[in-house]
Amino acid sequence: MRRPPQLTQREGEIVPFLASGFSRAEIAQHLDVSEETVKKHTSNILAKFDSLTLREAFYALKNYAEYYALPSPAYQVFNRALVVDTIVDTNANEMRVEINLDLECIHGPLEKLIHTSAKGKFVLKTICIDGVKQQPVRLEMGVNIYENRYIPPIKRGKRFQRQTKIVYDMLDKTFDDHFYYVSCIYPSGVLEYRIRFVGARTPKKIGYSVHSNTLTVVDKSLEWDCGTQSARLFTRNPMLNHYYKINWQW
Amino acid sequence: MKPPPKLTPREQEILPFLTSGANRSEIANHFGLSAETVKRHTRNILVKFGAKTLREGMWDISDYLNNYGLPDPLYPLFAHKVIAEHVYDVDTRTMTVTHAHSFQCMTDRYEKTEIAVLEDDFVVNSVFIDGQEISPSGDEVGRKKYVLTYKKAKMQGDYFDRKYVVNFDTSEHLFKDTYSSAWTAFPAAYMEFSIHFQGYRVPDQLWSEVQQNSVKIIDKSVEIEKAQNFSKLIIRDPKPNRIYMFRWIW
Repeated sequence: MRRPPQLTQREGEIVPFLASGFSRAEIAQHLDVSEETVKKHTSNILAKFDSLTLREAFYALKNYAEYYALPSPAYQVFNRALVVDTIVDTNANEMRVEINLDLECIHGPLEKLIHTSAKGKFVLKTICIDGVKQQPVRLEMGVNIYENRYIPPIKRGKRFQRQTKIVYDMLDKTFDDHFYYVSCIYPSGVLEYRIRFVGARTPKKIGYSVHSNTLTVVDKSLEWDCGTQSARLFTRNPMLNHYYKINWQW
Repeated sequence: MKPPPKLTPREQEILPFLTSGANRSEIANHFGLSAETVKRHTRNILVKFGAKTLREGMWDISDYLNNYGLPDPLYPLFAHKVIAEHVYDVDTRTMTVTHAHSFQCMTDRYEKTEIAVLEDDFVVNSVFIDGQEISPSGDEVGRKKYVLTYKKAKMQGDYFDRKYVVNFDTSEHLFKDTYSSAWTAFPAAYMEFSIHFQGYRVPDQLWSEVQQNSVKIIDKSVEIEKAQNFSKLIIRDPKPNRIYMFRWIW
């Protein structure tokens, strides 16, 4: 996904209409301005999306309308890069996950950001966001939701980083077949998900799959490198509602 | 979402070019056709999508491509109707969840059907699909999967119904504040989601919420009916990645 351009408030209001096929007259009527004004706004929007025609800009407009025209806190940011490093340590019987986000605030002021973590087979020991230990604010849809607050709130246009460190206890499930998945809850540019196995034993097989709503999806844009002790999954256009999963068998 | 139209193979090939912003002569070049033929195909496509202009039909075409335009269809089914009824019985300490779907098969063959059940607060007692009791066949990111293999596979274009019933044991969470949710795993045209409280006590407060990627969003298209022990949502265009929920406080 491309980084969204900065639109003025009025332009932001017009985008959903353009993306859903409204004519200039209809938009003008709805917003109570003249058609000429709508025309001017439209050409400014097209310039910002690097397009000559509406038809060319359609996909970008549609994405923009879906993700940023909603007043939701998660979509107040654009995530340039999501890098996940996972280390499965069989000696220490734990799995350590480090998630690095390179964020940009596109609708401010931003007061809080959420992190979600699904309940799996392994037991979550600790979770730290930017060095601060977190407690879940609620459990919903099988997912623990954590929240970190920004005081003072982050202003629009500012770039910032977030690092999340998670430690899972593998207990007696160490040599059960298992998986770990990553999903983007913010619109993101690139996703890199690396896994490394440390310890006396290496897995027999490492594989990956992509899911959407528990259905398996074919994603041709993925790059996949796999060794005996490590694997890397990379995509330039991660989808918001997809789960990128790496699984392994001992 | 409207049920997807039936396209010829050539129309399906042309479709991705229409939304990517290629012009008629570029499409004609790519397929070795004349521009007139492409014009004819485009017109036929627009008629099937019920649109006069490409701009008007763009939204539907792009939805079609997202959902069905892949070589392996992402969504093998289209749901014409989803009726979800949740009955919370305080006296017997159970909750019965009944989902009735009217499906149309979009893929060549549809051999097995699966449902995903969340086990957050309530404990699953039993799951029935089409009157047959099913045991779980695997964990998937905080959900349990239940699979029923059809004796006779459904073929492309077939209309069929599916009904599943999940019985939850609520005794551990009796009179704790909690929620109940429903979502469509497939593109759907219409969904009714209702909750009914039975027994000697009704909740103090009952309200509804829509979520996408763990974030609460505003969905103005949802119609709400409300009483003290009953509530119903009518959703005319449910999205596969949206979750509709009821919350209550005792």
